[in-house]
Amino acid sequence: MTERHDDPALLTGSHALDALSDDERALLDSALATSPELQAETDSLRETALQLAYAVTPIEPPSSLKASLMAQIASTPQAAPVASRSEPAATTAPVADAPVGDAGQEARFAPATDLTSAGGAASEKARRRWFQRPAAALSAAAAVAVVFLGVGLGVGTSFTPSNEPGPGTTQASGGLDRIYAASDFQRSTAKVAGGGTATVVWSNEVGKSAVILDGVPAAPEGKTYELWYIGSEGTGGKINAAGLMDGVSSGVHSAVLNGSLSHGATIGMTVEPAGGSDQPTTTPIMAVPTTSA
Amino acid sequence: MLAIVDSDTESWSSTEPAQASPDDLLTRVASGDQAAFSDLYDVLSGRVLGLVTRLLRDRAQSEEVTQEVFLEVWQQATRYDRKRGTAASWILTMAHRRAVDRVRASQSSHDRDTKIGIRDFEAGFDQVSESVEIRIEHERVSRALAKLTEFQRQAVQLAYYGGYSHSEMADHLGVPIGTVKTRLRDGMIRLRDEMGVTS
Repeated sequence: MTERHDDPALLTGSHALDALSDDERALLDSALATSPELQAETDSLRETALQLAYAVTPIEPPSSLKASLMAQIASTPQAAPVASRSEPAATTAPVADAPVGDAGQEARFAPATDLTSAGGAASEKARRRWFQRPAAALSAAAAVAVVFLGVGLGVGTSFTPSNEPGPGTTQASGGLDRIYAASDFQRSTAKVAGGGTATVVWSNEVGKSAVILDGVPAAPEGKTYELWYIGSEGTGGKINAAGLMDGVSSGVHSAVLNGSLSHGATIGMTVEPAGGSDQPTTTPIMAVPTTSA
Repeated sequence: MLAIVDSDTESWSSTEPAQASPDDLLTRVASGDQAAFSDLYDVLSGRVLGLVTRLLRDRAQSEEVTQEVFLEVWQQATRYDRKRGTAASWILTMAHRRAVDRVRASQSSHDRDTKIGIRDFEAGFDQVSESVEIRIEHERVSRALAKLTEFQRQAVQLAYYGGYSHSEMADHLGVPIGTVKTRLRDGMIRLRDEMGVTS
């Protein structure tokens, strides 16, 4: 198939354009190993091909694609670095990032303190508001959100900490994999009052759900986001705290809810004072029913 | 509740984080930084999907490939060597290769219009681009491509935007494979020199 008189030096252009067959690529690769000049030409032509890529009009992918990717990477281990070529940058990055990451990680999704619902008139009212008129509650929440979220998108430089200690380690991202792997996996995306979206993924089989926030601005100083399970009306509509989402800052953040998902429950999120509340004290900024689609 | 949240507004910080380069972001991704991955995705996902769609046409398939590419970025970030090139080219090279693999696997190569490269590329210019930046890039590449011989330009475009292999191009163009290789190499070198690409 390939000619006998193949000169690997002729293949650099084709390589940059991905026009090589596997045989030809192997031929070039072995030539590259012994010729720095050929390697330099290959590298420079690859950068040139980038210009051809840049001439194509970009197409923004749907936001669901990012949401599922972010969930995917949270449970996907990274390849071990190649030992030979050490990068100077690689030695500084983990040192700089790790402490921040670890601290943030602790605080980010603190387990909800033991909650036994306190009942009371206020929570009773909140509960009814939730599953009876989620839409109305949301629009009211939107008005509130404007007041405190309008000021500061692009807040600070705090970033989502890594879930893992380092490359090559599987992350302990808990139930997220199991939810994704479940045969009755379901997903629903809702707008969050105040900006951004929340994608809720759940599985009744596993009895777990998770929330992936995308572009939701940080909670105001001294406040945090708290997640809730609101039982279906049939089960008495009990509201259970399901954990805090601290450290949210407009990127993508995910959390598996504490406790278990009861059938037909609604998953909601409110802004609460730091440390969280036993029962919601504000109207939800997001509520997604887990009724089967 | 209004009063509570309202009182907090003064403590909001207004500092904008400095925009990190894709190279820096990818280096951070290599240390498991998911936020850096998120930023990197925001910067380059439109480029990746645009390029893959150019080759595959089918939108659903292109989105699938885009997802595969970024998952690979996450997994392989530790292997990225910034001395060898930019993060953008590392990622778009990955995207191009995957798209080409798909195109070839699904052929049906006869579905592909032989004149795909040239016509498509020109058509791209006619579209109203979203930004000045993109239009400027189009014009730069267009001007550089105009400096190639017609044969070189045709070969480069068939290969890059059409995903054609050497032998397919040789068939279509009715020239020996060696000629195709030479046109591609000379064309790319010319393009590099015209565009002032350094590496």
